[in-house]
Amino acid sequence: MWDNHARFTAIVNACSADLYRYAFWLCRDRDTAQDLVQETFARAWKSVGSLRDDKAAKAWLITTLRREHARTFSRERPQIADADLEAMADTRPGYDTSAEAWQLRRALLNLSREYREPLILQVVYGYSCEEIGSLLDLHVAAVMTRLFRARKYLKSMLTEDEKHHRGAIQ
Amino acid sequence: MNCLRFQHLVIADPHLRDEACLEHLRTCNSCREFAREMEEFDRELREAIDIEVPDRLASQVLLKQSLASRPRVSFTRTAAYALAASIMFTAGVSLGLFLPDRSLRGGLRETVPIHINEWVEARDSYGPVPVTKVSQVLSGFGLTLNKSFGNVTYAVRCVLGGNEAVHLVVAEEDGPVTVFIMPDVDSGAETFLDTELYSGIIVPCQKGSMALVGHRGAKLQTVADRIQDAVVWM
Repeated sequence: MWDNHARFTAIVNACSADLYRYAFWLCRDRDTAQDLVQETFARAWKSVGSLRDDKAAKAWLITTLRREHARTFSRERPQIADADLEAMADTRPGYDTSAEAWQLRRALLNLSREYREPLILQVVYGYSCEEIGSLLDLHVAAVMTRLFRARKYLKSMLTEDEKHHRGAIQ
Repeated sequence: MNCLRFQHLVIADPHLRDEACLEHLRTCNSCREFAREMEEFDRELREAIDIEVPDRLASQVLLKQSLASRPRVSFTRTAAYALAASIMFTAGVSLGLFLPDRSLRGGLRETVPIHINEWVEARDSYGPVPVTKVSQVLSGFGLTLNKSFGNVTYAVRCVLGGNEAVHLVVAEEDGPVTVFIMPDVDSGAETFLDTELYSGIIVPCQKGSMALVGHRGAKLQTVADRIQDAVVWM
């Protein structure tokens, strides 16, 4: 029993932060993200005996959170407004508050889920295209296409914003 | 591999460096610069995505899981207050505060296992504490240690709800048990906490109280008895 307690605690401590970030970028709402993380770990507790490997535990948590999100929140589509960006204000030292950083965050929030999700899995978890394909049930080529389009879109948004600022200055 | 293919791959995965990519990088200056720019953009992206995580998220998850999966028993009012009291001991909140107050009990649910979890998180860094050190910590409260009561891995003075206390961790065969000895706190009757993950017990002592928390099913009473037997309250 103690092994399960210790294992569960270790999984929560090791995985909760990244799982929260993933959940946030999936649903784009802090409270919802926290609920999703909570519910995911509630399910993990029931399966903790089978989650012996950290890598398997992470993949299991992501899959479970996706299902929970689809089941509970698929009909809710939070409207992205300035308030959501304000909610992303961060008090940590070194947090980038430049105009470019905020523009990038706004662009990420507006990126459609099919492109945003593989990008988050790649950036937050460092998953390869094969691993992302396995998690999202997509072919590797489809993952690469989505990642390509996601980055192209984000780059273009930054470039447009830069042009806009230059125009405003001139 | 041509430049178009290389750039397509690097946009999709800025850190991709298979043999074909490396070969192309060795021969193409413009793609080397392109790859560097994409890595820089990826760094910016990583910073943008790295949002602040709520304080003590892990502890809150463990807390809610622990309370949510608590065995379903019908609580009497007295039992509910006893539960709150035992939780408060762990949270370090003054005993004098836990009388009839629903909001307070709600607050406890947010804070207690946070402290328990911090103890669990820290336990791996603990090492054996010599009996002389344990004795020294206890003597600061007028307590005398007349024999060892187990393998102590943590012994410090701490403050619980404004009262000074001794904080110990005793390594038992089936897991660590954390102990608070509070010489100036009258806890009243013995009380118990039993959740899916943790068990707790508050024991009235000669001139104060003792609270013990361990994993569910830990033999807390045995540890409490050993401590009572080994410590003389002056």
